[in-house]
This record gives sequence, structure tokens and C-alpha cells, in this order.
Amino acid sequence: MKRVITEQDIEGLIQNNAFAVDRDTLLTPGAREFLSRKGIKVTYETSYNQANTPITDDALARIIEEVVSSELKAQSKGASPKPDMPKPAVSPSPAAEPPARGDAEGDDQYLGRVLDAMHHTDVSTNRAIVTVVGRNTPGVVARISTAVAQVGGDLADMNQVIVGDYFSLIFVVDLSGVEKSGHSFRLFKERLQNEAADIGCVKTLVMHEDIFRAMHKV
Amino acid sequence: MLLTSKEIHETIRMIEEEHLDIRTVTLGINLLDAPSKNLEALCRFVYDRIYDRARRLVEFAQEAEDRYGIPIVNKRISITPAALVGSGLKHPEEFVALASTLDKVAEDCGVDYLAGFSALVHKGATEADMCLMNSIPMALSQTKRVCGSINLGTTRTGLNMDAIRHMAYVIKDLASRDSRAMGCAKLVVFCNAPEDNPFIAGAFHGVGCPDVQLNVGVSGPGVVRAALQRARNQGRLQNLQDVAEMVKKIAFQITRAGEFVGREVTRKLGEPVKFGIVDLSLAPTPALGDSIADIIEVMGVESTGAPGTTAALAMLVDAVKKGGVMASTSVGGLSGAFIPVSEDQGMVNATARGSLSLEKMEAMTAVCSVGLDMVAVPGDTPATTIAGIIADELAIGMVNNKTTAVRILPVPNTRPGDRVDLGGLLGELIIMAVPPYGCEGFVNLRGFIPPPIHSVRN
Repeated sequence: MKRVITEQDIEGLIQNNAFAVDRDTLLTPGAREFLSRKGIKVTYETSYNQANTPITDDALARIIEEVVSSELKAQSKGASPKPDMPKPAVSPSPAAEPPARGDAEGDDQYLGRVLDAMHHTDVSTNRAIVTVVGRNTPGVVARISTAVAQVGGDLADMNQVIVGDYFSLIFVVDLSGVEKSGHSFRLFKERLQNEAADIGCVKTLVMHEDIFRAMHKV
Repeated sequence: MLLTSKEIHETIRMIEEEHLDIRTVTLGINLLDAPSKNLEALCRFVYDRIYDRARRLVEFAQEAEDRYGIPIVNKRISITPAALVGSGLKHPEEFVALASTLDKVAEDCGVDYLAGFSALVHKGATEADMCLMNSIPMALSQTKRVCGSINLGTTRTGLNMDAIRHMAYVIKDLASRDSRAMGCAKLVVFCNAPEDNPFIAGAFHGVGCPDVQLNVGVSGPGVVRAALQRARNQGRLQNLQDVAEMVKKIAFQITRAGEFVGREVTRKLGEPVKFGIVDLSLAPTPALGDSIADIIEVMGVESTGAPGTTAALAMLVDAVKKGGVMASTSVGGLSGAFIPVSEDQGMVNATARGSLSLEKMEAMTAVCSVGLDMVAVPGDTPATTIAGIIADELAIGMVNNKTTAVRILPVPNTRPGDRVDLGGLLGELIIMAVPPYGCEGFVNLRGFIPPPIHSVRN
């Protein structure tokens, strides 16, 4: 009798970031996706693996990729999922079920991207929106972007509008470097505001991007 | 999902020029497990519990302000109704002592106000409820940050006229203890009081709420007014549906901002704090342009209080609710639009012009939250007349299945038309005229007004 494991089952069964399955276990595609998204390893019970070499992470990754790729292919062709979907990872060694690579390299690249995206779906962006308004003087952009770099920020995007003598600048700054170098958001903000005030800018606003997203994106 | 520079500029304009802010984050704290019989033990417990839960509220709220650039105007605390917390207390003096403890802990936590010096007496008052009500004149005049509320009726139970009459005397007494009747600004009486209201003075932490809950009240009349004015100047307002549509969109954005910031503060506070609700109310401030009356006037009513006011307000409130409900699944509290006379410069101006009267205010409250709010009357208004004003207002709430409230200030030694400056967010009072005819006979009949027929719904 085969046993079917669903996403809910997994949540109850995960221990130490590893999930143990035995010979009679079938993992649904949803369960697999859930595991890879959460970075959880699938382990095989020793009783089953005694006579065989234990499965390696590489082999498992290839098998998961294979399952996902076959699903993606089915979807991209607009076909309903194949009834004989590739057998999930019950194979103890890569040799027993050699992973069939995609027909073309394009598939693999696409797959890589998809898998990559799967690992990063829930990561919220960590960026600040910096708006500077003031009288146009030479070197404004240079001074502000230097200040950004000094506290570890990374300029992701920029937009400027110049009307007569005045300019309005919007910087999008990636904050991950700021936090890595141990600076707080407050320090980052003060640093930029001081710099801008030095140049004689009228107004400097530093706000985390999330608030804009909350207000403008459904 | 990249942001456009238009979206960025729009947000910045809302915050910088149009007074978009988070009006309040209010931390509701359960105190039901307090030892209620021994005053000393009770006060110690209450202080420790509140301080433990709320000591970092202000710090975290300020961090969120800094990070997201949206001001959070008030940081507040609400507690389980004090009459329940002190249900074993036997004397009003003991409740006064409890109020002092609450004032102290509010000050130590750095919050503006602590609300929940409250009793729920819609079906009748317990001994502790009576003690609390009797302690109010002393408790609220001697403390700075403590706010109280009394629920005097509900749609399901009708109106407790005995308690209404009693509270009218309490309000008169409280008002007489200060030349500006400031204590009355911290006291509100309700029909159908919500359990998760973040706004002062009526906030309390309902018995159906979890241990600790953070509720958010958004603001934004200034944003609505400015957007409508711009659209009107550019000829983009073809008809009333356009107005409703614009208000809906703005309410959506305001609510999203409120919920987002509220959840951030909740996350920082950590377990066991839960995110409660966003109150969708448009809450005005005395700042120029941040006014509900101004919105009504931009919509084309010559002066707030003129014919058309109630209809315009009804449409505004409905559109705010529709936009807000679309934006958040955690909507609660009062959710409507506030029309506190003194706190809204447009309302003050309309009163001064003579277009806004007590009677028109009453009609307006039938279509918006919350009620006769920050209304000032002459100090010599009889208590029975005040009871009549309260009963009228609460009857509107009872029959229409909505929250209504009265926060009335009988300012001593004043006459209609006089101005009294309360300062800060409370704004400026203009004394309103009260009809010369009384209702003594009706109020003195005592008893209950039975609930309306639609209370029998099961």
C-alpha cells in the first residue's frame, strides 16, 4: 500500500530541518515544492537504505528538478499533467534512476531560474526611497551617491526631474549592505539628510520602500 | 512591480502637504485577572502588567515613524473596563486611587492617553459600576492622561435611562471642577460601544479581545480634501459618483498605510501582542485643511450645516468604508468619519458662522461615526437637558444598529457663541445654543427604554 504525503503532513513531520521518508512514501508535487521552498532536506530511513548507498543531496536535487521540469513542460505546452508523472524520489541512488536532463539547454536554464525564484518568493525587498529636493548645484548626485555608498548602500535606481533652477531626485537604495555593515536605518537616514542639508537641499526624505508598496500595490 | 516616480511623488505629497498620518496606535491590555478585592494589590498588579506590556510601545512606534516616514501622532493604551478590573472595590475613593495608578503608568510608558476607565451599564449597573461612575468627577479632574467611557445602551438591550440621567449629573459635576471643563473632553458615553476602538476617549479593551492587541486609527481628511479640490480645479469631477470613486481610492491607500505600520509595530512588540484592527475613521485635526467640514464644503455645500450636509457626509462615510474594507480584512472600531466640533477647524468656522447647530450635528451623526463629539454648551444647562441630549443621540444609535456617543462639555460661566481654547489636538470650542425647552418630566420617569423590535432577531 503506497502512502501519500501532502503539504500538511510535512509540516507535522519535519524535524531538524529534515524530512524522513521510507519506501512506501509518495511525495506530491506540492509537498516537494514546499520542501524546496523551505530549504528542507529529504532523508531516507536507514532501514530502507541499509543495502544501498545513501542518496546524495546532488542526486536528490536532480530528481526534484526532474519532477519540476516535467511539470513545467506539461504546463507550458498547455497540456494537463501527465497521468504517468515521473515517479517521485524513492530511488536510493542516482544510478538506479538516471536523471533525464531536458532536451535542450534552454530548458535547464529556464528551470534554474524557476527553482531560483521558488527559493526567493517570500523574501521582501529591503530598499529605501530617498527623495531630495533643492536648488540645482553641480555635484548633487555625486555627493548623495557617495554618502549612500559610505554607509554601505547600493544605488539600485535613480530618477531626476529638473525644473528651472530646481531639481527633484529619487534614489532607490538597496539596504542589505547597510545592515550588513552594522548601520541602522536611522543612521543611514541621518547621514543622507546631513549630506543633503550640507549641499543646501530644501527637503530630504528617506523612507523604506515597503510603505509605498503597501499603499500602491494590491 | 516597480514603483513609478508618480506613485512616489503622490505618497510624499500626501504625507508632507496633506497631513496623511497614522492618528493612533493603541495597545489594548487585558487586566481581567487582576486581584480586584485588595486595592493595594490591585494597583500594583495593574501598574506592573501595563508597564510590562507597553513600556516599549512608544519606542517601537517611533522607529516605525522613522523607517517609513509616516508620523504616528498618538501612542496610547486601552485597558479592560476599570469597573470590571476593580469589581471588588466598594468605594468611589478606591477607584480614584486606581485612576491615579493608571495616570502614573501612562506617564511612565510615555503615552499620551490611557483609556478604559470605563463601565458597561447598558443592562444595569453593578455596585462597582456605580462606584466608578461616582468616582469620575474626582478621578478625571485629578488625572491628566486617564480617559473614561460608559456604555449606556445597546440595540439589543435598549437604553438605561437611569444611568443616562446619572451620567448627566456626573458630567455637570466634572465640568464644574475646571473653568474650561477639560475633564469632560476625557469622558464619553456610548450606545453600542465597540470593543476594539483605538480612539480616545472611548477606547477600552473589550472582554472578547485577546490578552494584548494593537489597534490602529488612521487619519487623512486633509488628503481627501486636497484630492477633491485638485480634481475639481482640473474639471475632473463630472458627477457625484466621481467624488465617491476618488474617496474610495484614497481611503484604500490610507488604510493600507495604517495596517502596514500597525503590523510592523505589532511585530516589533512581539508575542503575545496580536494585531487587532484598523479603524477606518477619517479623523480631523485642528491643522488647517485637515477637516471633514472642509471636505463637505469642497463637495459644494456652502457652509457645513447647510441643507445637503447630511447627504454629503453620508456619501463620504460610505465611500471611506468601501475603500477601507477593500484594503484590509481587519476592519473594526468605529470606522466612519469623526465630526468632533472643536478638533475640526472647519466645524469651528461653521459654528461661528451660525450654520452648524446642535440639532444639525445630531442629524449628521445618524450617518457617520460617532456622535455629538466635543460639543460645548453653556455651563448652566440643566442636567436633565443634558440627559435628554444624550438620550436623543443614543436613541439614534440604538435604532440604527450603530455606535453613537456623546462627549459634551458644559463649560462653566459661558454663553452661546463664546470661544474657549482647549489647546493642542483638542482645538477650540464654540459654545452652542441649547433649546430653551426642557425634558425634566421625561428624564425623571426613570427606568429603561426597551430595545427596538429589530433587536429580537434570533
